[in-house]
Amino acid sequence: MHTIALWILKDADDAEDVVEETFWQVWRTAGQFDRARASAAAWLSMIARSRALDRLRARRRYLERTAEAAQGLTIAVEPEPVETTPRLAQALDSLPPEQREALHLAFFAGLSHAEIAARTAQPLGTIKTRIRLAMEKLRLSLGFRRDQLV
Amino acid sequence: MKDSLTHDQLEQLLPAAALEILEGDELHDLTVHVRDCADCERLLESYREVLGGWATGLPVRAFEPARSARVRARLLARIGSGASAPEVGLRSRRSPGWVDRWAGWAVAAAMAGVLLVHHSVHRPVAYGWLVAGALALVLLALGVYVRIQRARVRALEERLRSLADREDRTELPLH
Repeated sequence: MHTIALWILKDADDAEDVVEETFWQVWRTAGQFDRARASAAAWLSMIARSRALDRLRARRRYLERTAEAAQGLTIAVEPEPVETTPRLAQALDSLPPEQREALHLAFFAGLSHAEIAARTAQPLGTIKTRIRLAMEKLRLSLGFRRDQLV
Repeated sequence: MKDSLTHDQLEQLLPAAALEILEGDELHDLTVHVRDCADCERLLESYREVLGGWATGLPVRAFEPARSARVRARLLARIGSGASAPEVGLRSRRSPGWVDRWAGWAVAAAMAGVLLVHHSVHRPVAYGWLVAGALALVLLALGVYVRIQRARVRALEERLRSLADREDRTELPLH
């Protein structure tokens, strides 16, 4: 939880707050967790990511209202290569660079399709396609097949 | 009037929904669709599992012991206070038991009894039975009023619970 929060926010104090908010949400909504549908680790990580993105988006809105907006925004959402488990790293590496870039901006910066399109100067439809294809490739690379889902 | 999206179009939005980057009408339409489409729900879960795996596979950044202790202390304080935990706070509140439910009526009956006995012994006022009857009516009205207020409180608590639940979820339910 702390790791994903720190990767997204790049600020130890904010990440600490996100860890607290994540545990607090887990305390209140633990009954919603269904082990048959997701692993506990993935569930916790996604809650932490969600809370971190909330904070990042709030920070971004604040920065956009200030003179340092452009500079701060650039630093906050800059995608960067990150290590991960070998299988996932391999799957990520196999993605075309433009798909990987769009996915990074969505995953680590929580940018919407439109925001990614503006940032990369690409048509909105292109960005939607890149993200969809990238996610589908990752899903298939990690062994999620459609026939196994039913 | 906008055209509604087809199943295939909505299915193509699932990766973005898992990434929590959908907005506006697309998010709304997909949220409604996933509630009724088991296939899309399962597909959405699989995308989330991929992303969860990505998140858990990131190189670990150490969480300093001092920060961990601070978070632990703050969480225990929040849990201990109970007041700021909507679900826990409201659910753990003791529901009115038999005594609570009937205590008011018992007191009212006792007061009416005392009043009647007192009147039958001392006859302190003219038209005492009328006065006693009026007081009994007032007590009855008070009882009805209390029941109405309790029903309103229950409705408000229910509303608070649903708002708290909604706040806890992302736009699409995590599970």
